[in-house]
Amino acid sequence: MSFTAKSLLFAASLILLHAAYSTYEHMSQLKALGRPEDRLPLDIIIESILALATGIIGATLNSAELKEITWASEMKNRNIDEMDSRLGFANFNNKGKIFFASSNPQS
Amino acid sequence: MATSTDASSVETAHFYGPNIAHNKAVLANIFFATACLSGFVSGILGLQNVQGFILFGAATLLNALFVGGVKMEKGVSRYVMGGWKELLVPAQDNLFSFVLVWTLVYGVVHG
Repeated sequence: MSFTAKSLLFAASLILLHAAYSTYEHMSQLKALGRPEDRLPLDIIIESILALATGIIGATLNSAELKEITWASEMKNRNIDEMDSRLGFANFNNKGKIFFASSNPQS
Repeated sequence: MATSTDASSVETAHFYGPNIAHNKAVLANIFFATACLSGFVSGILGLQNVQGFILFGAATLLNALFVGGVKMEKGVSRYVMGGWKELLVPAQDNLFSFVLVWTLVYGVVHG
């Protein structure tokens, strides 16, 4: 989401609204003249298609980042202990009592 | 942890669920915006019958190509489970949004 993306989307909506208003004016003019519904002028057609393309590009660039979906990529950001700590096999019985005991020949 | 060993669960065990859901939500958002935009343009141009749906199909195809090419730098299959096939098949739920905006704009501009 950058400034370019937001401005693209904004520009696309402006162009679209302008094309809609131009079409409405053109249609009312044709109706006032009593002419049957003619084809739209080419520049309005090109303007609409351009607005559609710009809007699609702006909508794509304006969205959030996609994340990779494999477990391997997610494990790059995490520790195995967070995901699978195997709590059933946790062993709290350590040998500190023996290591840190005073070295007394009688005990 | 899952302990079943049938083929589908072994395959999906290699994927991280929350990221799949996040990507699905982001892509749904983008395709919905495209559906509404193409509905607007169909209404402006006064398209009728099949022509409007052709424009919707073309806009969705263009959107899918752009998303796959630009937003997925490391290849489509690393962001979406089905790869290109899942991207290029348009979502059915956006069709009704397209028709809604199409009829609205057609009524306003050409009515």
